[in-house]
Amino acid sequence: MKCEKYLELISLYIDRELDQDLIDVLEEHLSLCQDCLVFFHTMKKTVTLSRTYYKKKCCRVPKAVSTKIFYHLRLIYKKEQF
Amino acid sequence: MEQSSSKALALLKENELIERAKSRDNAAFEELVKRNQAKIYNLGLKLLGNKEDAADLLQETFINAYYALPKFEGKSAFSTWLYRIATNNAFMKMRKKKIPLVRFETERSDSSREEFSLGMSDWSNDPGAHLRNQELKLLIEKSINALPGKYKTIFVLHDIEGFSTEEISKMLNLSVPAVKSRVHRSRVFLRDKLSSYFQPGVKQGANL
Repeated sequence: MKCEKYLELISLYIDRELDQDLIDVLEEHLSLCQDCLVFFHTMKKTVTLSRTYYKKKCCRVPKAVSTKIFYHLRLIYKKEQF
Repeated sequence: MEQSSSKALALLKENELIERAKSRDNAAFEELVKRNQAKIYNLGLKLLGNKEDAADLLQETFINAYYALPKFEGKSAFSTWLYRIATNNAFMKMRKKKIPLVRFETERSDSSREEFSLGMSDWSNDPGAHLRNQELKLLIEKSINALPGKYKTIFVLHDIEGFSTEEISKMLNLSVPAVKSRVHRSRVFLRDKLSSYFQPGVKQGANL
């Protein structure tokens, strides 16, 4: 099997969604192929970095935005009453 | 429908609020908005990249949810149902802005399609330390924004928000293998973009 084929399994491996027989095949390859091993580590870090970045970036809803939603909803309630 | 007082509502469980809101207890619906608005607003910021569009998306999502609520059957979590409405609204906004939904922009003109970057170092171990670097933060944001709309949505829902591939497949009406494949392609794309930061001298690999 070419490296490309192993790399297609990497995401499923990261997500623990790979069947055991394929885990064995992939792990054997990773123990032999430095390039694929690096690919695996850097893929995992891509996910971790993105997740960590967004966790730190979480925003509150601005008060004005929230107020506007409730204003519009109340207009809809009124319309629905008629 | 008799309207509940907001203090009493704050103590109710979500499914109780949903039942009341379905019978047009508007205060109960507003409590659901309060509890879920931050999630949807932040989803909007990630998918659309700016506060104005995120605010519009939030408003449209809850107005759509208000009208659609009588049809909500509780087969999924309420927040999942809201995400479904929000992502559909986000796709409409992306279409209007002519943001590609499924097509990857091809930046590379060379025809030698390497499968991946050879000899790239293993980056470093501490993501927190990296993220103190402004340049990397901008690159992550820029790279995620460069994903086609549907890939970006799937990446955000799966890798950032933590939804399962099954949940996403129901949310977006896609097969589970299609979701898995798009998660993978998005990660390959992002890994490729980030590798230019970690290994500036190394040529980027192709999109697999």
